[in-house]
Amino acid sequence: MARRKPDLLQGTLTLLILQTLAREELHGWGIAKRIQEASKDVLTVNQGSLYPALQRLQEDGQIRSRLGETESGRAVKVYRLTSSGRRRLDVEAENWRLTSAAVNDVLQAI
Amino acid sequence: MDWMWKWAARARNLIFRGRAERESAEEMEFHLEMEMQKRIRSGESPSAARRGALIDFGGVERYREQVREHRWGHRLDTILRDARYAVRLLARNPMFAIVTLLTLALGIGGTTAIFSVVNTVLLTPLPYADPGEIVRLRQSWEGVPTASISPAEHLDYVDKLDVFSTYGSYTYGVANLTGDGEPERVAGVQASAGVLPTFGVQPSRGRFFTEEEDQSFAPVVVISDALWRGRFAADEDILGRTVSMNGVDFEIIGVMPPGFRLPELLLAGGGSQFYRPLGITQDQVSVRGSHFLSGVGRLRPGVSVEAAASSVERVASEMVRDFPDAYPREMRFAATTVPLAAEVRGPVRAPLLVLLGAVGFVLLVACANVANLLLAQADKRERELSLRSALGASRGRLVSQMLIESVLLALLGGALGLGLAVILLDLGSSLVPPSLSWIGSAAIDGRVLGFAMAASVATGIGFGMLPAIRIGGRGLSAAIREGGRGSGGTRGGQALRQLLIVGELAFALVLLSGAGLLTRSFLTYVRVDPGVRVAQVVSARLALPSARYGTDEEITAFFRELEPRLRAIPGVIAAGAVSNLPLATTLGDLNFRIEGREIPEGGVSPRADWQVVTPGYMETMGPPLLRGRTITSADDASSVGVVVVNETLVRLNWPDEDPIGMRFTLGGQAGPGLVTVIGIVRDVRHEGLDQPDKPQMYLAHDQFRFWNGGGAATGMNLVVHSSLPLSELTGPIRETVRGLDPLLPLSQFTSMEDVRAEAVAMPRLLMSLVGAFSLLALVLAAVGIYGVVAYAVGRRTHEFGIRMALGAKPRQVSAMMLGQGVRLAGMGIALGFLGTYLVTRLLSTVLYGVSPTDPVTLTGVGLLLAAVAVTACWLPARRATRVDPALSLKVD
Repeated sequence: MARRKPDLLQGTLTLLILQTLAREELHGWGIAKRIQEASKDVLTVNQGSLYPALQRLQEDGQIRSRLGETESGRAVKVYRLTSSGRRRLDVEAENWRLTSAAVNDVLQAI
Repeated sequence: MDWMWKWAARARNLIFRGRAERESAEEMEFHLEMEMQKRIRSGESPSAARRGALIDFGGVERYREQVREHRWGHRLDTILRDARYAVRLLARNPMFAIVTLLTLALGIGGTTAIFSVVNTVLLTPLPYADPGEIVRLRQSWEGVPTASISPAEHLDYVDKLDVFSTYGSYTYGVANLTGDGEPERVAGVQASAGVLPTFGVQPSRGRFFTEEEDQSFAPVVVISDALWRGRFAADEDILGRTVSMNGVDFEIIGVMPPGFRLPELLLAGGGSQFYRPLGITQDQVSVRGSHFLSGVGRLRPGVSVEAAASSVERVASEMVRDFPDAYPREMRFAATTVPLAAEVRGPVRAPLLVLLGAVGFVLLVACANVANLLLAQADKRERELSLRSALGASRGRLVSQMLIESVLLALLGGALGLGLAVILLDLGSSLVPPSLSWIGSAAIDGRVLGFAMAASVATGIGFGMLPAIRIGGRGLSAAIREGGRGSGGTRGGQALRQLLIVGELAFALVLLSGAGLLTRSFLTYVRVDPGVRVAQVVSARLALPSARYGTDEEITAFFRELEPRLRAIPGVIAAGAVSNLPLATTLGDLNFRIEGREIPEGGVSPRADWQVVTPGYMETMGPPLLRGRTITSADDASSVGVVVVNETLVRLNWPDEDPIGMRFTLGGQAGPGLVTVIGIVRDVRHEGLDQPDKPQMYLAHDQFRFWNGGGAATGMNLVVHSSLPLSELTGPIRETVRGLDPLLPLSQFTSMEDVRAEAVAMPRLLMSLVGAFSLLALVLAAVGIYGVVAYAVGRRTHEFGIRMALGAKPRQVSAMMLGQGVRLAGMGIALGFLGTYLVTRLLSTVLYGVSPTDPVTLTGVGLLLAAVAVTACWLPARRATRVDPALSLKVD
C-alpha cells in the first residue's frame, strides 16, 4: 500500500467527475472505480470526497441524477451530465491542458 | 433547461431533506459494500475488507456532513434549527420568556401605536389630487400671524395672481334646512368658484357652480354625499331638486364624493354638508376691512411655493401702496403662501413628535432591560456554549445562534406588540374628545407593519448584540476554566450590565422630566381663568332664517322675547345669547376712531375684537364687570349706542383716563356708528387659554345693526346658567324655542365644561401619554436595577459567606451591595439630567407657563427616581445579609 497518492488539486475532482460522466451514466462507486482504473491506480481519490462534489455539481445543474439499477438489481442513484455540465467540462479540460502544459514548461526550463 | 434541473435539485434537497439524507447515506453505504466485495474477491477477509473500504472512503460521517453543508438550503436550515432551539429554550424558561416578551411587547406596541398615528397624520399625503401643488394663501398683521382675507383682497388675488392654475376663497357657515323633513341646522361652506377645482375634486354626480353663478350669487348648491344619502335618501333624481336654506330655495346641482373635507376639517373632524357660491362681486370691492375668508390655490405646473409666495407678497405690497388707510404701516400687513400640508399638520406636528420621541425612549429602556436579562441568561449558559465550542462550533456560529435567539424573541414580542398597538389605538380613539378624533383614524397599514417589523428586528439585533459580542470576544476556554461559578459573574459581563442600567435610569429620568413638565404645564393651563363662567353653563346654537325674519325688528324682537322665557325654565338662573362662544371660536375685529382724538401721521387706528350680546349674557357667563354698568334691555334701537370694553382695550387706549363716558366711532361703516363706553369687564381668553389678552368690546344685539352695515345678527349662541345638567336642560330649551318658532332648529348643545375640556384636550393627551410612558420606563428601570443587584448578590453568595466567616457584619455586606446599586443610580440620574437638559428644550413648543428647566419639577423627578432606584437595590441587598456562612460555603 506504499503507493504514492498525490493530493488532488482543488477543482480537479470536478473535472474528473465531469469527464467520467461524459462517456456514460454512472453511480458514485462506478465513478470512483473508473477514475482509479483510468489513472492506473495513481489517482485513488479519498473516495468519500466524491459525494460532496457530486452534491454540489447537482445543485449547480451540471449533472443530474435518477434512481437507476445495478446489474444485481439493486436501486442506486446514477448520475449523468447535463448540457451545461458538458460546456463546463470543455472549459475545465481546456484550463487543465493550459495549466499542465505551463507547469511542464516550467519544470523543463529550470 | 438546466436551470430547471438545478432548482429542482435544490428545492428537492431543501423540501425533502429527510429523503435526501437517506439517499446520501444509502449511496455511501452502497459504495462501501461494493468496495468490500471487490476486496473480498481479491482475497481479503470480510473484516479486513470492511476496514480497508472505510479507510479508503475516509470517514462516512465527515462526508455526510460535507454533503449537508454543500446543500443550497443549508444556511436556512441552520437558522431554522437555531430558531427551533431558541423556542425550546424559551419554553424551558417560561418566566424569562414571559418577562422578556411582555417588556418587548410594551415597548414595540407603544411605539407602533404612536407611529401609526404619526404615519396617518404626518406621513400620508393629504386626501386631495396632487396635494403637493396646493398652497394656503396666508395674510398676517402685526401680532396676528394668520389672518383671514377680505372680499376685496380676494378679488385682488383673483385678478392679479398668475402663479395659480386655480385660486379660491371660502368661509364656513351654517344654514337651516327646511322643506322636506325636519328642520335641520347643518354646517357648510360658501366658496368661490375656484375652491373645489383647487382641491382637484370632482362631483360624484352633477357639477360645481361656475364663475358666473358664483358672482351672480345664484341660488345653486352642491350637497355632501352624507346629506344626499341622509336627508334625500340617495335620490337618483337629486339634481334639479330644491332645498330651502335659511328660507331661500336653492337648486341642487351636484353631489360631492363621499369623505371629501376641506383642510381645516381633516383633523378637526366633522364635515361640510353644502357648498354654495360665495357671491363676491366687484361691487364689494369696498369691503376691504372685513376679514373672514380662507384662500387656497393650486400652483401652475413649474411654479414653486417660493415663487408663488413672492408673487403674493408683491400683490400684498401693492394693496398697501394703493390703500394706505386700510393697511397702516405699523400693522405690517403681509401675505405669503405655505404648503397646505404644512399648515394642516403644523399644530399636531410638535405634540406627535414629542410622543414618538417619548415612546422611543420607552423602547430603549425596554431594550436595555431585555439585554440585561439576556446577559444574565448568557452567563448561565456559558458552560453550554463552551461545550459546543469545544465540539467544533465556530465562534461565528455561536454568535449567529445568539442573534437568531434574540431576533426571534423580538419578533415574538413585536407580534404581541402589534396586537397591543391595535388595542391601544382602539382604546385611544374611544377615549379622546371629538377634537382629537383624528387619532382614531390611524390605521395599521403596510408602512406601520413594516415599521413594527423593522423595530422588532432592530431591537432584537440591538439587545442581542451585547451577549453575542461577549461570546465572540471572550475566550471560551476561560469560561470553561471558570466553570459556572466565578466570583460575581465575569467582570466584563457585570460592567456591561451596569452600563445598561445606568443608561436605562438616564432614559427613565428624561421621560419622567418630560412627564413632570407636561403635567405642570397642563395644571397651569387648566388653572388659567378664561374670564367667563364655565361651570353650570350650557349652550346651543341657533340661527334665524332670513326668509321669515326679514327685518331687524323681527330679529331683535325674537331674542328679546326668548330671553325671559329661557330664564323662566325651572332651575335656570340666567340666560342670554352671544355671537361667538368663548373658548370654541375665533372673533372678528373692527377698527374704531376715538372721539376727539386724531390719528397721528402714519399712526394706527385702534382695533378690538367684537362680540354681540343680549342683555342676559353678562349675567349668565360674565365676564365680571369691573366698573360702570353692563348692557341692559334699555339699550335698544331707540336709545344711545353703548359699548362695554375689556381691561386690555382700556389699557391700550386710555392708560391714564377714565374711559367711562368716552365715545368712539366703529369701523368705516354707514349709520350713526357712535358708541359710548358704559362699562369695563375682565379680559376673556376667547380663542384659547394660552392666547395673549386682546382688546375686546361687547355691543348690544338690539343696536348692532346700526354699525355692522348688514343687519341684526341672526346666528347666536344661547347660553343658560343653571345647576341642572345638560341632559335635563336640552328638552326644556328646545321646548322654549319651539314655543316661539316651531320650525327653528337648535344645534350644538354643549356644556361649557365640555368646551373647556376640548380646549385643553391636546395638553391633557400629551400629559397622560407621556406620563404613562414615563411610569412604564420607571417600572422597567426599577426592575432592571433590581435584577442586576439581585443577580450580583446571587452570584456572590459564596463570597459573602467567606466574608462573614472572616468576621464581616451582615450590615457591612448589605451596605456594600446597596452602595453598588446607589452608585449606579447616581450615575444614571446624573446622566439623565444631562439628557434632560438636551432633550426637554424640544418640549418648549408644547409647554405652557413652565420652563423646560423648571428646577422644582426636575428636582422632584430626580428624587422620585432616586427613591425608586434605592428601594429596588435595597430589597436584594438585604438578602445578602441573610446568607448563612456555613451553608453558602457548602453550596456548589
